[in-house]
Amino acid sequence: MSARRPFEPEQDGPLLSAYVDGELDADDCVLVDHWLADDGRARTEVERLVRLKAFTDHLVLREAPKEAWDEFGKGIYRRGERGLGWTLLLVGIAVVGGFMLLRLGIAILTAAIPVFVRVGVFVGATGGLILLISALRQRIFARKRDRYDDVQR
Amino acid sequence: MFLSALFPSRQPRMAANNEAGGGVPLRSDAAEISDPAAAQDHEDILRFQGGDVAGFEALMNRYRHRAYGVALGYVGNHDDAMDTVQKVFIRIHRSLDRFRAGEPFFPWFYRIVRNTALNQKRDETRHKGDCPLEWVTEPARLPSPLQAAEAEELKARLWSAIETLSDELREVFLLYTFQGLKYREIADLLDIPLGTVMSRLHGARRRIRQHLGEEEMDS
Repeated sequence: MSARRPFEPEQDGPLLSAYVDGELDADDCVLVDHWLADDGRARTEVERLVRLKAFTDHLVLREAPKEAWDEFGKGIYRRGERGLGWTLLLVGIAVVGGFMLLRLGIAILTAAIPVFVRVGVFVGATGGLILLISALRQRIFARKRDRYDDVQR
Repeated sequence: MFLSALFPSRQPRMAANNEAGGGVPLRSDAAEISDPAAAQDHEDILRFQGGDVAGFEALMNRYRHRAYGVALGYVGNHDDAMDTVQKVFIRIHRSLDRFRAGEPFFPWFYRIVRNTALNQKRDETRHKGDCPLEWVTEPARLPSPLQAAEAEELKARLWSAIETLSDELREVFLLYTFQGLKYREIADLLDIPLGTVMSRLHGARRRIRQHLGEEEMDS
């Protein structure tokens, strides 16, 4: 239950908004009615809110054109198809690439090539591995921190 | 004067974008779903989880317009809103298997739309937003071409004002004004106190009025 108290423009604005929207309970309605009877600032604020509300109540967000919905199902199918395509492609690249790297590593270790070339390959591979781990870590970190990326129920 | 002459009475908040789902309650009981729309959602989800893809299609057909409306409020243009809705339903298709039957569908759906729309907005800058608002009751009420032009300009400025709002204020304003939710429903949906809904909505209105110019709204 709201005690009767004087109107405070800064603090009580939300109550006036709720009053205009018909969202106040009976006690708060009585309180606002008193303010409206006693305080010109409350009346002015309510009048402004009513005008803005009257304006926005005559507007809606535009609907999508009908032809957009005609293509909608196909669009979803195409996206799904491409997603599957990319996944398969990446898996294939990972398998073949991994196999080739393994064969390359074995060849380098077993072939009769100068030590400095082996060292060069090792250093280059280490650099590549560091870059890969760094990129993965950044991606995982961003995913954890991204407030919009995880959908929670 | 001009505004009050144009808009003497309050109109329904949602004119077209509620093919269904507009009246879906935010809370429902798994054991007893009395609302027909929520019961239909429940049935379609169970059908999909039982392997019948028609359940998903029915759900999608019922909610796509609403998804578009929510997405449009965030991204501000048709192309990105449509992209968002497609991504939304792909995500829903992937995760609907794990949805607990009997839980209210709309809050879950809304969060997916919101998150997808915000990601879309962050990632896509190629589409500039035009004003996605339109009149519920136009032109019969407009007394003259000049006033019609003024009303169009005011509409564009309103959207521009909405775009300047912070995400928190904007979300509550859009949910109340264009999605037709009550304060309590918004509080439940966003998991915030009722008082916060009130203060955010009022804050949004105050900023919009400032953006439009108080004297213009008063005239």
